[in-house]
Amino acid sequence: MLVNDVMNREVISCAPEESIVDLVKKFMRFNYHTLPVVDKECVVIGIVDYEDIMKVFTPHNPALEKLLKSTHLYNINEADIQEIDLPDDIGTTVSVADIMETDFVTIDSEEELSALRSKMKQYNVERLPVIEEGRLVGFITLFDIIVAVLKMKGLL
Amino acid sequence: MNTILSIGILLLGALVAERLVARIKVPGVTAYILLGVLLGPSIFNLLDTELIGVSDIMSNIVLGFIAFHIGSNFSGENFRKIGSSVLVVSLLETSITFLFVMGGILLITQEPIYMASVYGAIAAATAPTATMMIVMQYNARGPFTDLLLGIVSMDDAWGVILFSITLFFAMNAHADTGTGGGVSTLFFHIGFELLTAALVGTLAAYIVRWFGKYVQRRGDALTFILGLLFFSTGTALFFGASALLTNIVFGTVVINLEPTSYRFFDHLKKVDWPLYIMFYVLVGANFKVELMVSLGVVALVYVLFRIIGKVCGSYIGGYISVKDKSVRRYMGLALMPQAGVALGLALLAKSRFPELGEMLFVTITATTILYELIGPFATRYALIKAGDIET
Repeated sequence: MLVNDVMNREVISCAPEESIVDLVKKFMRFNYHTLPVVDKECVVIGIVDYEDIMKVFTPHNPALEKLLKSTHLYNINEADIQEIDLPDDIGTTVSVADIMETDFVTIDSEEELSALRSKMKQYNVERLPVIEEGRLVGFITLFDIIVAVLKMKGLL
Repeated sequence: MNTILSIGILLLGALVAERLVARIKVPGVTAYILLGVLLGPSIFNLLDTELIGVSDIMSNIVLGFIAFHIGSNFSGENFRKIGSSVLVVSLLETSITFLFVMGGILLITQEPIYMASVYGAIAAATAPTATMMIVMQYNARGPFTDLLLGIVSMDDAWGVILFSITLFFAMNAHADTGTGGGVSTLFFHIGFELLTAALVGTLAAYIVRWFGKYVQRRGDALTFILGLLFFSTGTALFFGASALLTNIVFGTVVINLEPTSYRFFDHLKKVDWPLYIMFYVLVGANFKVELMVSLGVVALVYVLFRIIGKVCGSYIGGYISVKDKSVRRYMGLALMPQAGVALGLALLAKSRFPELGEMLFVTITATTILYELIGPFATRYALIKAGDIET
């Protein structure tokens, strides 16, 4: 069975310039927690999930935060999330591009499901954008694989 | 006391000690060192001697991990994101501090040049955790804070690189005082060591690239990366090259060659914490309290010249890259805390120079505790003066 046969073709994506408020609304509306970020040519340029939104609760540049966390014995208690001062304009000034992850893994639609599962384990991810010639054509999750296998075995 | 029981006491004691010192807003590393001093032979003698005897192996392994993580930050994308001012100021303040401390120790205390240069290199490192604790405690924010956080996360890297290169010179110069080898022999040795570090580190990175895709299960991924780190550290030591530089090359090449290899760094982070703790407690246990009385001019010169170096270096760095008065005036003070990496390097130097290294180790450990206690006040003062803490 190929990725093509199982993937979700009605993929919801977002643009890098979308505001964080629009992103949260999209997560709420579609009940998703991971979305691919695409440019105008539909090429995947990043992945954003709800955990990335946590970056706005840190008062510093996310790149700095990442750098500090890579230093050894870095052990700072997170501040009380209710007490953190957020600037009034944060909903409009922070865009998807500011918080998305640019190190991500994709899968080609012609790959076998077994290859997809291997990739998921290898990179410790459960949701991958599906591409054809570099462009986004779908999205596939571990749950999609589970459903496909159960159907194949006649259990669903 | 048997070794295994000693490890148990050490790890559990470290957790308690860290929480106790957190009440006075001091980072964990100070707690681990003080616990080590208390448990060590100088005071309560509760640690097995065999365990203290493996400090040298521990320091090579743990510093290998630290160096590998340092290398992982050297990606083109990271440098682009943190900005050139962080690089300019951190490079200048570390190299000027190195020169000041080396010059001061050399001129005032009459230590040989190779020991003075090791003091200089260690002085470059700062304390990311202590700095971030101050930033969070006082809710500091602004361009000065961002620049400060960028610098403290980079200058441990520069410190480790400076130390590795300095150690080549120091060890060769130290050996040559007995054998009378010439300058050409010295440069041959250094060239050989640098080349070995580059080759072994690059080879380890290519092994990740070639075989990483066959390693899928989590346990295997951890085994793979641990095996490679031991392989690169051990091979470097076998050829007499710097394990630190080798692993920095390993981390740097792997992250630029294969950006998705971050998964190996993540696996390593899940297990390295207790090793760091053990390492710092052992650093404390190696500390000979009786040598404290002989701490005098060297410690004073080290503390003063490190501060002068940081202040002057930041002034010049700030003048060149930021054009902001507050950076020129106060960044040096904000960089005063000194912590873990300096201690690790001091322990390594101690094992390389048994006669003079003992005094260096005691000096760095004692001044680290001092810097950890007074440094945060200097950082806070600098952040207030720069306008990043509202008063």
